[in-house]
Amino acid sequence: MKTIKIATDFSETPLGRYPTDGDFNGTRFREEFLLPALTTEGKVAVDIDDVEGYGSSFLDEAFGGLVRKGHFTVGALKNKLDIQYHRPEFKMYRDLVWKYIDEARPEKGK
Amino acid sequence: MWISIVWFLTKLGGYAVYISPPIAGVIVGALIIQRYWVSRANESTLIGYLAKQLDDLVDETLEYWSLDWSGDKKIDEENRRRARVLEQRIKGAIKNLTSALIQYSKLYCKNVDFTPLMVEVSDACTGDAFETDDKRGPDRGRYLTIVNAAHRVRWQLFARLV
Repeated sequence: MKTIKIATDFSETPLGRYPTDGDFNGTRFREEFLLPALTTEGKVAVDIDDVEGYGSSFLDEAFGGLVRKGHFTVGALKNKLDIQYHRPEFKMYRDLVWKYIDEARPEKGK
Repeated sequence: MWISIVWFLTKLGGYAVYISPPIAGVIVGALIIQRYWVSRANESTLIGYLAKQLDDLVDETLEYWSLDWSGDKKIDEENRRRARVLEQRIKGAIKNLTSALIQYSKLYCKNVDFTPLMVEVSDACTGDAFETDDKRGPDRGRYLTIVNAAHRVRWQLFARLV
């Protein structure tokens, strides 16, 4: 199982949805980190600890975008994706990730 | 205080056998009641602090979603800069408030989990176009969602005072 630690592998200060919002946006994390790992590995663990704080827009784009862009179904992500945290305040972000995945619907034509 | 009690009991002589248990009961009872009220007062102070943090978060978030940088004038650029500052303050405030609520819950109400309520707050405050660089005007539709999400946390806290 591959583990991606956002704070060390990506950024301690991820922000925004789109490439125009900055270097460490949700689209880039999805396309360059999550998607390659999820397509080549059986299971992927994402460690969300030690980041200064997440905007919901980043989490929605990075994780909910996997379903919206038609890369994976909600059911497939439940089997493949494991969101990990150790510090209790990050439980909220774990719950947000699954909320956005659960609420995401594939865009038309995807 | 204890020396005075011992002195008082020695002065009573044989009667001390009869009145010592009630006196001990009164002292222990008073200590328990005092401990209870001190704990309630501390909890009340902490709830006041958490409510203030929540109010500050709501104020800054409402200001953020009121900012207009839809045009190309100087004021739009100033608003965009102000928004960049508020974004980081709002994210930090949500994380800190979540930590404080977890600590509060551990100390005073282990059966209450604030996480689902803070998920709503975070979604309301930092969802959709938060931190996006697109030109945009105020999002008035979001005001009520933010205020209602914050109210749910506030009422959960104030319910502990009743």
